[in-house]
Amino acid sequence: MADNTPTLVSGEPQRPRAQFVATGFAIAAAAMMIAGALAMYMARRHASGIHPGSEWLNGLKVPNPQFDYALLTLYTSIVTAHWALWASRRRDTAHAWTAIATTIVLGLGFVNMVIYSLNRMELEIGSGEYPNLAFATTGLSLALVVVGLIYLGLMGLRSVGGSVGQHGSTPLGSAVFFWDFVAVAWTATWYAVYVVK
Amino acid sequence: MLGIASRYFAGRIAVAAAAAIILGIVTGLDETGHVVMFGTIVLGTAAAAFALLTALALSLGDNDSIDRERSHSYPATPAYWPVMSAFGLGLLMVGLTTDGFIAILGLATIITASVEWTVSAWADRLSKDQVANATERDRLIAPFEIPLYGALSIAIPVLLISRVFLAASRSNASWIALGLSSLVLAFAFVLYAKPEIRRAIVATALVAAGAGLIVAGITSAAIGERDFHPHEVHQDEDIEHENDSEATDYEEHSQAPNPARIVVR
Repeated sequence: MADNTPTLVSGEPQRPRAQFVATGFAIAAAAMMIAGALAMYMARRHASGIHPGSEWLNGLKVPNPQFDYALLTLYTSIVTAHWALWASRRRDTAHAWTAIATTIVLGLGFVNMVIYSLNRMELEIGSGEYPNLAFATTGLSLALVVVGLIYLGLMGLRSVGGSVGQHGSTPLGSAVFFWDFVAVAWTATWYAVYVVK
Repeated sequence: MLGIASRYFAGRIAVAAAAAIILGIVTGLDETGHVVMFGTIVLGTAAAAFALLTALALSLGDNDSIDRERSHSYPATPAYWPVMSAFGLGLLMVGLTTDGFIAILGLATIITASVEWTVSAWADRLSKDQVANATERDRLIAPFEIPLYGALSIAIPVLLISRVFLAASRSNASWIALGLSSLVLAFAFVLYAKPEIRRAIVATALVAAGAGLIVAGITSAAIGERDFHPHEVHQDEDIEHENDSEATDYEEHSQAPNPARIVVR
């Protein structure tokens, strides 16, 4: 009689790109957070009156040029982030480092521009529903940008430690992946809160 | 053939997208024509998030995840960085509700722990030789670690003790200083007299003292400094006070209002 007992597979689980997959899950979770915040914003805006776009702003002026330039800066940083990844995969550490540093500088510039724009708008927490929700959604997006910057900086440190090449660039690739998501998240926030208002 | 993860996430996309569409249509059929924004947006985004995860699973092969040859098994060195990160997070939370400086300290702790953790994780995977990995790790990070931790080991106790002294009254601060100095002296004497004392006991005592100092420092910072009042300046022509810095001095409210005069003859 044949032995039909199933044999168990032995060995450690193989996770060649575990960090990339984990970043994907983090992006999915953060996307739901942003969606929840923006959905709440849109729902409250929708319920604010017949002409919600103008009524609940209550005289506040959105400085469009500043926000547009901030968005352009963020998009430029995506290009430099991918430049860093491209260089890292080819073991071109000089270019990789220049690109990572440029990305971080552009990211910091973006944060500065957004905060400047908020100051220019003279938003005041507690002065109305729009300022409260605008602060909450913008703050969440900015927090994601800061997390993305720290992630890029840390993975940049790994690349200076020699984590380069086609396989070695996976950590940096994960950070760039998250940075791409950050740009998408900010675009959605910007469009909902400062364009559609 | 699609793997388990791809099929699972594809099913999730179908459910979330169908729910978003149905919710949008059903709620939009009322007399106002307005859809339920919150539910529709969240469900639609959920479908998009699952689509991202499906694409990820497909792009990575979604195949057998068993390393039969154990070729990717690396021994990891025990590290304190998760504990340090958790401590930094706790400091940040406490600081955000009490003192901004403590929040900055917490943020700095989190950043430092993150950098250390990253470098340690990288070094652990360099080879299966833990000693060689540790050497490589030190080569990269030790030039930053030694000056940083050296400075912090001086600055943090000074800062925490100063919070305690500033929160206590003037006389109590003196007593606390005396007590702390005596404790340090007694501990040093015990170490000198009993060199065979177990290292674990010494380490436990040091950790307990450090934890006590941190708790006392944070609590004192939360309580705040005691009240200080500017010292009244007595400008008597007969008294020479050129070398005194009393004009910028501060003293406690509880001190006698008319301090004794010292006449220089």
